[in-house]
Amino acid sequence: MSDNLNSALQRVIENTHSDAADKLLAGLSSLKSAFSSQQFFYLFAICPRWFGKGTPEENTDLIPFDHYGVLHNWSNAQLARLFVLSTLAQTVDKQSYKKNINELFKTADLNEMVLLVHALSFLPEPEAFVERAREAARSNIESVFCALAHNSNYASKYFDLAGWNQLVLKAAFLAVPIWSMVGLRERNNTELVTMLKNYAIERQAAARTVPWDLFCCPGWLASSEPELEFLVQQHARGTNKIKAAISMALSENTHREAKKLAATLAPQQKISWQDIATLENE
Amino acid sequence: MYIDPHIHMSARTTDDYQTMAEAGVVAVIEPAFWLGQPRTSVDTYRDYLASLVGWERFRASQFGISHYCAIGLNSKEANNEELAEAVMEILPLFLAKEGVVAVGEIGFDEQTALEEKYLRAQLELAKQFDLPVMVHTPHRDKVQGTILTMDICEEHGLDPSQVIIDHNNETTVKQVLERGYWTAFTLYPQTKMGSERMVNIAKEYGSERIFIDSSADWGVSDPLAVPKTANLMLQSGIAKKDVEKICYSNALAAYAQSGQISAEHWQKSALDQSQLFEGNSVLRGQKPKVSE
Repeated sequence: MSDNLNSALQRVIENTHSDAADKLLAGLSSLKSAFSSQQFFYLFAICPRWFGKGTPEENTDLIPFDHYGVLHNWSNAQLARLFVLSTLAQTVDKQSYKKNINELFKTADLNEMVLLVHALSFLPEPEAFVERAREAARSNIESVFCALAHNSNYASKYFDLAGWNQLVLKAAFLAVPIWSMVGLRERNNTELVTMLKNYAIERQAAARTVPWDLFCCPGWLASSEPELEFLVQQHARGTNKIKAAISMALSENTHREAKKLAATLAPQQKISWQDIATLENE
Repeated sequence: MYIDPHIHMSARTTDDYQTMAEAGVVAVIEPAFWLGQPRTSVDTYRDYLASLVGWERFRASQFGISHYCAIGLNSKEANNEELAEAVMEILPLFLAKEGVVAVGEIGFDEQTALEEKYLRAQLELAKQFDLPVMVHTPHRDKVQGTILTMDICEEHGLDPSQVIIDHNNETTVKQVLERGYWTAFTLYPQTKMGSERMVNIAKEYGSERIFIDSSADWGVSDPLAVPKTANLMLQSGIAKKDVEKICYSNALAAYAQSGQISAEHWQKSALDQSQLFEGNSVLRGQKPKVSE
């Protein structure tokens, strides 16, 4: 994390909650003179009790660092916790920084876990925490999973092929949005498409619903006749949302045959992914 | 509306959560305890404590039940000094977390010197973190153990109003109440206190600072003990307002001293499992239950 985000966070929490910020700064400054993990863990844990549930009166200082609008919605306590983490990075060497962050993951409560996963995008040495992020991608706790899957480019930047594919498949499994995942198009690949198609077929065999936006991935990559035929079949049996998603993805596909098919399926489609997401699912 | 202020949900099934929610249990407090066999490492202890503030809270929330916990080193495992020392080191990591309403359950099992040492150390932690204390009184030599625990609490400067003495029975209730402590009763189907005995105690001692819990765990126990006893009390002619205190508001008042539990939590959040439906590992695609 740059010094700038650290000082922007400090300004925001000082402006809204100066008493709590004073206590926190005193605690952090004692860490700088003599570091103790216990004290660091305590400061991280205690933020909600010191800062309460309020949100900052003014957080425009954070905009330059907040590419996906995450910090915009954070409470003072959450911002204070991020400030604690970023200050750690400036206080101890890399090894100790990684060790202490990993320890926080091990003892995190629900809200702390969500925050830690979000924080990975804002902290230095992000690639050191890929395994923690992979654990979040395996979580059945939706808020933890979504902290990684949405409004963050962490996974698309640092996950290998297997990690990325499992993340997308798990999003389908948890029925949370796939279409809005950062990097979905750039990281799309044939292995993932096969996994998603198999997942759709398995769900349909059990007469269960299939997430509409799962069809982005096969739609963007389809080129051969069997691939296109699969989408024609799914379009025919699909809900309005699925039909729109298949046509949309095919229209964004670079292959000629796919574009042709898109034009046949939905000749007049002028619609965005966001629009499709808000359609009724009938 | 009921609170079960002492129940080990990690040892219970989702069916229990479901029937508890149907019976009107809105909140539970899960104190850290032993697992039926001793742990051999601080790592498994840490994972257990992390599950109390993490996964178990999430699991309860899916059934519309607010989950809180007490964090501590139990008396049985206090006798393994090496483990106990390591656990004492990690307790501060958990005591300031959200939903932690007490240090507990702590106290005596065999009343050994090591048990006393770690009881004292944890009373100091409670003071440091400004948390109430949930005391487990011993099942053997109960009266002496209970009196000794209260003496030690006072020696450490704790006010009785900050301490909940649990697993009381006819032999301890009088002294515990007289000394000003919250006086809790565990309702076990076969041992300790039964519902009928509890009705008699409520008739004799009233409802001031008295509350009940199930302490349901992996043994023979009943997660519906609080609502069932409440019904029996009402049938036996105990006034509704007293039943409400014994089965809901006294426990709330005792643990609300932590600042971590409030009726707003369950009054505000209408249950909506449907948000978590589909492929979720707890509901596994079952039809979600949505409150009306």
